[in-house]
Amino acid sequence: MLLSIVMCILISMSHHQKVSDPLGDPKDGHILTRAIIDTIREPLIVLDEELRVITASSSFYKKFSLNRENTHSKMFYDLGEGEWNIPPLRKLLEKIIPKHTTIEGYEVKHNFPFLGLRTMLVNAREIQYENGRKKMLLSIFDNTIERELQSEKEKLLSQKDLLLKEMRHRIANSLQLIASILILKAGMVKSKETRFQLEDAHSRIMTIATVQEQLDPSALEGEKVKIGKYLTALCNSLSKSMIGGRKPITIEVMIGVDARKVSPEEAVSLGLMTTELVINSLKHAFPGTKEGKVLVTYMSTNKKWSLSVADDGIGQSKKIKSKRPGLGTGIVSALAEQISAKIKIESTKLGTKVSITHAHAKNQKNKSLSNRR
Amino acid sequence: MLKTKKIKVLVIDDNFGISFLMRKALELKNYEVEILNSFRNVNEIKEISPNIIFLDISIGKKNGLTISRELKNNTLTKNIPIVMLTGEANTKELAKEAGASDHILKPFGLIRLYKIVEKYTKKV
Repeated sequence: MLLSIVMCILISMSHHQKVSDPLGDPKDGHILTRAIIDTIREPLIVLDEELRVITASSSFYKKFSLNRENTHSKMFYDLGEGEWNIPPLRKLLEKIIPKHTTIEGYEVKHNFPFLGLRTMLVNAREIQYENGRKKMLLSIFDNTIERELQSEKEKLLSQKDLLLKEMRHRIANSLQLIASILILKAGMVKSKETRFQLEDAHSRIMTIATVQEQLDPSALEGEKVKIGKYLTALCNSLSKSMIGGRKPITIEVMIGVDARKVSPEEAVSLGLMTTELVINSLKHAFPGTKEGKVLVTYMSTNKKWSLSVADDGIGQSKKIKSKRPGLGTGIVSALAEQISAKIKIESTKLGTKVSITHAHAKNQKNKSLSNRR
Repeated sequence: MLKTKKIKVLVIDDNFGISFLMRKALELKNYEVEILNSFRNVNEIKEISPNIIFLDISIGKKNGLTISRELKNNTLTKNIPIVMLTGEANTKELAKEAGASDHILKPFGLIRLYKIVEKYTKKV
C-alpha cells in the first residue's frame, strides 16, 4: 500500500497537472515524497533506470547499516561491501521487473555480514514517465522471524504426527498381543464354556479396535466415525470370529440411509452394545444346533437414532427373565445410560429384540445427570 | 515316498511377542514359519526363500515401506508377496505404492491371517 502511495506521488510529479492538486504544488511534490519515504517503517529504496540509488528510507539505512552519504548515486549492487549483489535480486531487477512491472512478495534469502542469514520479501515496482525515463521502487520486508516461526510450527506438527503414528502403532501392537493370546488360548482349552468366554473376550477387544480402523488419522480434532460403515465392519468381524466355531447362524446388518457420523467414544459404546447383544443371542437364543439369524439394525434421523439386535431364536423364558442380569446385559445398560439412551426388550416364542433408542432433544440434560453419578 | 514341501511364511516384526504369536498361529495351520526381528539385507531374505512375507510397517529404525521397496527392486526377491502389518488404516495406499501385495491392520483375527496366507500362496 505504501508503495502505491509513493508511486502515486511520483506519478503526480511527472504529470504537472494544471488543476490545483490537494497535496500541494506539484513542483513541491518531491518534498512530500521524501517525507513519506523517510517516515515509513518498512525499508524502501528508490533506484533510477541504471539501478543507481536516488534515495532510501531511514529504516533502510538503519536496518542494513548504511547511510545517505555512502549510498547516494551508487550502484545498488555496490552498496556496503557489495552485500546487495545477490543473484536472485539481480534476476528480479534485470529480468523479471522489466517484463512484469510489479512484483510482490519475491522471497530472497541472503547472508548479510552484520545481520546473518535473513529471509526477505521484496515488493518491486517500475515507474515509467512520459519522457521514457524510469524509476524503480523496492520495499524490503525482513521475514526471517516469521519464517523461523513457520518452520518451527511445521517441525512441531511433523513431530506430533510422528508421535501420533508411533502411539497408534504401539496401541495396535498391544491390542494384537492380547487378542492373539486370547484366541490362541481359546483354541487350546478343552472346556467349551471357557473357550466361548475367551472368544467373547477376543471379540470385545476387536470391537474397540475396529473403531480405530474407521478413524481418519489426518483429522485429529473432532474425529468422527461413520457409524454405518463401522457397525457393518464390526458385524462382519463378529460373524467371522464367532459363528464358524459355534452354530449355523448368520448375522445380517441393516443400516438406514441417514446413518450419521458419531464421536469415537459413542462409536465404542454402540459397538460394545452390539457385540454384547449379538453374543447374548448366540449364547441363549439358539440352543443345540438350531439354525438362526441375528439382525442388527441402525436407523437415524435428525432427532433420534435407534439400534436394535433381533434374533429369531426361542425367546426369553420366564426363568431367564426373572434371573439377575448377566455381565453382558449389565454392560449394555451402563453404556446406554452413558449416552442417555433407553433400552426396550421384546421377547416372544419367535425371538427376542432389544432396541436402544436415543432422542437428541433430551440428550444434554440426561447426560449431565448421568455424568455426575 | 514323495515329500510335500511346506509353505514357508516369513514374519519380519521387531515386536517379539507379536512375531511369536504369529508363529504359533501359523504353525497351527501347518505352515513353516521363520521370524526376523530386524532386517539386514536382501540376501538374508533370499536365503530363507519364503513363499510370503509379513512385514511390519515400523521395524526398528528402518521403515517397512523402505524394506518393501528394496525387496521389490531386487530380482531375487521381487516375486515374493509382501503383506504389510500396520496399525494405521490410512497406510493402505502407501503399502501398495511400496510394492506390497496387501496390508493387514492390527489387531487382526486369525481367520483374516489364514485367509491372506491362503490367498497369496494358492499357486504354491
